Amino acid sequence: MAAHSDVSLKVRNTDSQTSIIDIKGEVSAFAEDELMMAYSEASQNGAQVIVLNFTDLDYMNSSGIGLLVTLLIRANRQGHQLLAYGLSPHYRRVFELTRLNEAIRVYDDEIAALAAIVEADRAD
Amino acid sequence: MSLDRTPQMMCEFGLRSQHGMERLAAALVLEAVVPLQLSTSRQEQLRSAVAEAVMNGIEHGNRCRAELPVFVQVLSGPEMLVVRVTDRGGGSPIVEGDEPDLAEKLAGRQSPRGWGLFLMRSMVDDLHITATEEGHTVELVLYLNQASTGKDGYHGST
Repeated sequence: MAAHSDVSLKVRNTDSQTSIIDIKGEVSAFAEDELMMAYSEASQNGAQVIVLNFTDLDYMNSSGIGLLVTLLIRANRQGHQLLAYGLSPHYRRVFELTRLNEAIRVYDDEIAALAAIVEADRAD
Repeated sequence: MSLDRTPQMMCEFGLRSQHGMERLAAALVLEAVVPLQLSTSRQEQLRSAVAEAVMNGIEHGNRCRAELPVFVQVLSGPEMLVVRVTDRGGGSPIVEGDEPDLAEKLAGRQSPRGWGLFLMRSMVDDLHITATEEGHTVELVLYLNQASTGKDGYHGST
């Protein structure tokens, strides 16, 4: 097997403040370039909230977790907020074990994530 | 007559040290343990743990030298499932770094990486690492009496 990325990422802008990155396939060290490019695309139009959609995640390993930490560091530096949804029970558990869920709020689905963003806007 | 409780070999195989082989290894192990009827969550835990152990052997043990194999053995008994992953990168013990801490990583005091051993330990009930002059062996243990481990199933937040 060749060492190559087996992930595809699509960026959607839901409004001027929010972008969603749809993640399909494997999140491992080989996904770094694609994920960082998708993040740049997601934030380039001024979005302050970046939502990671893991609904079609097939596999994530420890390198992929490291990649999410790198993404989180970048988001923190740029004042962006990261949210996530669509995690399977297994990867929800991984988020809990690593405490990523304390830094990246996790929702069941896109509707719940977007509703939380609207609610947070109202509260501000 | 007493029952033999010693884990018996279910399958064993060797793989080249190339990235991607860790997922193949995990798939082969899951196929081998089908008769044990593990729950979905236990299968997912096993898949992650085996893949991490094999990746560890490829990267840190065999240093990605494709010609060096990683060997996998799957054994089971009435009480436990054991998966042994052995590399050929002998001569030095596996170094266990600091326990990964997300706050430390976000503050730049730890590398963003370094989750492999932590993830392995979190996914199984017991983990043993041995080093010889020939290589390292990571032994992953799942107790089949799931109620006693507390690691089966998920008790996650919403």
